[in-house]
Amino acid sequence: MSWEPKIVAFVCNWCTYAGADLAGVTRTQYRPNVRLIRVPCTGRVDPLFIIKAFEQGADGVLISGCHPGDCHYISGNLHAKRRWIFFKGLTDFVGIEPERIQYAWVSASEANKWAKMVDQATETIRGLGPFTKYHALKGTGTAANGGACPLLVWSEAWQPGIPDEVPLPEDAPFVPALREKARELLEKGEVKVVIGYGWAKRQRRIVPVFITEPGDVSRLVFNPLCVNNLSVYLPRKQGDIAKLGKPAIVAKGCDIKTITVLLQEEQIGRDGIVILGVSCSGVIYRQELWAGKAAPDLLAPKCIGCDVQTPRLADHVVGEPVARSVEQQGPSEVQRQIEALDRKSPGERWDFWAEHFDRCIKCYACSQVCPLCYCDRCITEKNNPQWVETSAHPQGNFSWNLVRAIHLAGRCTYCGECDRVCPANIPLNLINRKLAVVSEEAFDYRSGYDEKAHPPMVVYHPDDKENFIR
Amino acid sequence: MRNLYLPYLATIKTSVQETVDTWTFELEFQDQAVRDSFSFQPGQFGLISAFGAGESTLTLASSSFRQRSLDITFRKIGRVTGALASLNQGDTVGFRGPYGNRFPMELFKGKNLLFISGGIGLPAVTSVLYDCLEQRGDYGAITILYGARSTRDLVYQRQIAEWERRSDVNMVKTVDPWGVTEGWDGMVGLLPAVLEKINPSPENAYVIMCGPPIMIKFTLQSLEKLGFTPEQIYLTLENKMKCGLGKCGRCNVGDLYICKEGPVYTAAQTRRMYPDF
Amino acid sequence: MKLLTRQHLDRWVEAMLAEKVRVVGPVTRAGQPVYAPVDRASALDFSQVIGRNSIKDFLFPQTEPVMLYTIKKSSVEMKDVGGAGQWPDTVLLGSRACDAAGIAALRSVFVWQGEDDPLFLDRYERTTVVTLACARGDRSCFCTSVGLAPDATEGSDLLLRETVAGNFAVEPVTDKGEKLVARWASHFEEGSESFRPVVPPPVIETSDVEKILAWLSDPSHYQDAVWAEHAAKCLGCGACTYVCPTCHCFDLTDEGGAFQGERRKNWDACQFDHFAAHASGHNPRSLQSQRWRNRFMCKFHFYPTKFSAKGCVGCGRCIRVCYVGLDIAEMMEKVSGLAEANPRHQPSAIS
Repeated sequence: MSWEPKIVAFVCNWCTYAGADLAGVTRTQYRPNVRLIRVPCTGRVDPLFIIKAFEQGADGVLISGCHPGDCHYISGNLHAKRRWIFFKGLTDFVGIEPERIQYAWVSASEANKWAKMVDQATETIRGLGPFTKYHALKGTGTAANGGACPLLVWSEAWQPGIPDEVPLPEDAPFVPALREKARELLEKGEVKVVIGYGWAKRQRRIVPVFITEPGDVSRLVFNPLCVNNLSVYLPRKQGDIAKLGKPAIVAKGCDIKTITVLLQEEQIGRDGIVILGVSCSGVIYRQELWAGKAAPDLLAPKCIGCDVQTPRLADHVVGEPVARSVEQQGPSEVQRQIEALDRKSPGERWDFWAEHFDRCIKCYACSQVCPLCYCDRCITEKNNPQWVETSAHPQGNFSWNLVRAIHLAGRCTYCGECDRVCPANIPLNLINRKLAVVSEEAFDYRSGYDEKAHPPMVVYHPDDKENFIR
Repeated sequence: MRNLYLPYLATIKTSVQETVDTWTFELEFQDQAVRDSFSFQPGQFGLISAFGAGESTLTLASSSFRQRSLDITFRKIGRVTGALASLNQGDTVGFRGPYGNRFPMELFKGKNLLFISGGIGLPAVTSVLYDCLEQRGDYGAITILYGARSTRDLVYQRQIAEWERRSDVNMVKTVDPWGVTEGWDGMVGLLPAVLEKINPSPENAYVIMCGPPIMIKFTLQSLEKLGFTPEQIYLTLENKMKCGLGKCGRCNVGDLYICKEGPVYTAAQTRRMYPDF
Repeated sequence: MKLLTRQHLDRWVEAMLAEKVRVVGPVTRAGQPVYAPVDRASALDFSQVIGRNSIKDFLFPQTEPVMLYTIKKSSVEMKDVGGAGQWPDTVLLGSRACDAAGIAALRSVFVWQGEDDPLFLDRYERTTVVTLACARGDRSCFCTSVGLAPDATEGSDLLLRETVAGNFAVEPVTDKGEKLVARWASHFEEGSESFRPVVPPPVIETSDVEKILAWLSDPSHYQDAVWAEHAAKCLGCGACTYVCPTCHCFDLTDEGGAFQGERRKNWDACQFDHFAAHASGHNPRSLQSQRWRNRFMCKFHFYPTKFSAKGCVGCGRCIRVCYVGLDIAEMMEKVSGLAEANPRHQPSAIS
């Protein structure tokens, strides 16, 4: 039997389903390759549905609903469109051929449009051939083959902390002022804990510290090793910290961008925290790389092009305003890599990502370290149904990385923590940055700058682009 | 070597819906050899597979004297129990077990026994009860105290009716005051209060108990008031399990693996446990 | 004394590979030290301190099927894929003493109370552990503080020590090790050379596993403030458990479509917040500090008392991977100090 493309179509109950029904009633002939799944509204189509369809063997996916303005629920399709813009940016970037996922508006009366679209989609996807790339990922790969090593490829330095012979960085000049402010807040009882940076007890490295006694403020430091984004400790998920009481947090300008999103999304209240903003002229990406000075090539990717050296939104700012240094001028290496990937063919992009995702060990460190992954129960923990398979085989790894990225689309402030901590060195910065670019281009929105703004995924605009929708 | 993780296949011989979300399956092994050789002790549990969904830990609820088939009762609450609930008579499930320790039946011989259970906890003690009824002469007075949130949450209503008819069993059932519906012929009130009302004697007696943690907590206090010592009280504990074999590292309460050293403990033992459940 | 010369080592490896023996050893991939199967002797690099992955990957892989199922109407067919005989004979060549001790620890769990994990045991029986005594350690190594040493033999079948002449002195530890040498006798020769000294990492003077065990055995310390104080910064990613040679927790999960699929045994981690959570939502260890406590207690209390094995082998990987700088050795010092102050030791809570 010759191969026939399998296409899963998610159609809205009110328009496209009725349109397809009309096609049936009027005996309009079209290819039998689509499997219809009726949903109340295109707004109901979670990107996970599409991923799941591919996992289960679909060669293409069609999503179709009411024309803008016709939505039974007023704006469901317009919200859906925003989601699609992000999702399309993502699927294109990881090398899924754009023709495999088709978006359309088909009304209840457009039986002919529906029939024509199915015919065309079937032929296009037939031309692409079976989507074995996705199906075949299962059961391949190193971790899946039992007894093989998942081949971890970690950061260059495999030593935590800084060798004894390398001099440690000096404290920033404002550290005494920072300690004084922390002491004052604790003594007055304004806060119960100060979340900041300090030296580890045994190793020469900077770790998060939680100061609850005014006498301990001398543990607080700030220097170019303070790369961690401490705002991860603010959401409720961190029960141990929440139990301590109202926190003050030592935050760089970039960390405050994340705090901004947490405020936007009402995960924390502005009155519930005190922000101790610190001026920053760049931190190094991995502490182990410190070799006596903050050389430009050691700077965290987020520092390149940084425009928040002097923190905004803070209750107290310590340190003098700083200007962007020469090292921090763009374009960044990340930007260059994204552009290089964009120039490649979908197949090459796919191979690039498949190779990286193959190494994923599903430790979920990327989501645990992400301040914006604050859900009590992550989608990975939902097993009824099992949305993301727990096995570390490449297919599940691919799906997980798509899900993680789309859940952060338009929200991620590019703090780079997920990329920094990934034990398998998957270049997550590329994906996050790419989606930030999509957000800027499509919605003129940059995450983390305005705590009053609505994130792009929760609002819509009638003029949002739809040149990719049939 | 037999693969420890490979379940035996069993057919659902009968399926009884106990409440809106609770079912009892009678399972019969498909393999003749397993049917003939299988045995278990009261208090032990098994891992039931709903193929495609996974495994769930369930106490064996039938008499250990019964040959060839066994009962399990489950509440539809998660992925596996949800899948089990969608199965019908004649369908196939998997079974691994029996696992865990057991109730010390030899200790109960000649003693007065007080069964206390709440809600879905009843099936966890019924294997002891059935065994006692099987050899009724070997045991003293038997009292069953069973409570549920409402009349709709009572499981084993047919069995309860049967125990009520027996002259050699004192069956006391109760529901919470806000769970009473018309026609209710049992007691009304929270289980610890009812326990104190019926005032059982601790003399020559053992308590066999299973229920939600909050019920256990207050019932233990009532039992203490009535003069029961912690050594007289046996209860079964539950924690999440995956392997049932002491390997997957999930069900531990401190250094105790419920699947191996449990699930049956005396109240005296639980008092000295790490507070990890 | 038996000697394995440098040239013979390569020839021996090639000979084993030619006989379809899987040889796993330290190699460099993308600039990183890892343990991986090799296809030629020259890939082996014994100069590295320790592989980033634990050698447990080759006995207890991250994901593996235990059973395949097919659902047909009301019947189900199962295919056992955990059976014996499907794994190649394997030589773990150039394991470190800590990793070898980790294998002994895993064995104590997977082969316990007569219930043997066939997937582990089959691999274990086909695996010979050839340990190479460490010539150097790094700042995270602390094997000497848990009662091991760079040339400890726990879990090893054969111990190699470098000699000053650059060859390897061979010391069989078990029958399996003897057999390996006998099987490939032509590659080993009699001789006597003096050893290059091993360089043990400094003992953490203020840490004592006996004292730690005593302190942990007292349930009243279970809710000590030290846990939250030390582990509050833990973000619960579980990376430490994935690289740990002794972490053995796993999940059994069904994967597949409506009619067929497989039951897989996958690594799981006590650091994940849903790990022990009941279906009802109740979670016995709902705070991250409690989950971290569980890991620490597993290493220094559950393993020694329950499985009579070392739960921590001092490889230091968990220290190396932790991105918030949680340091298990720091906690060992802290708890030892607390034990010093309050040495009350009770027997295990329930006997």
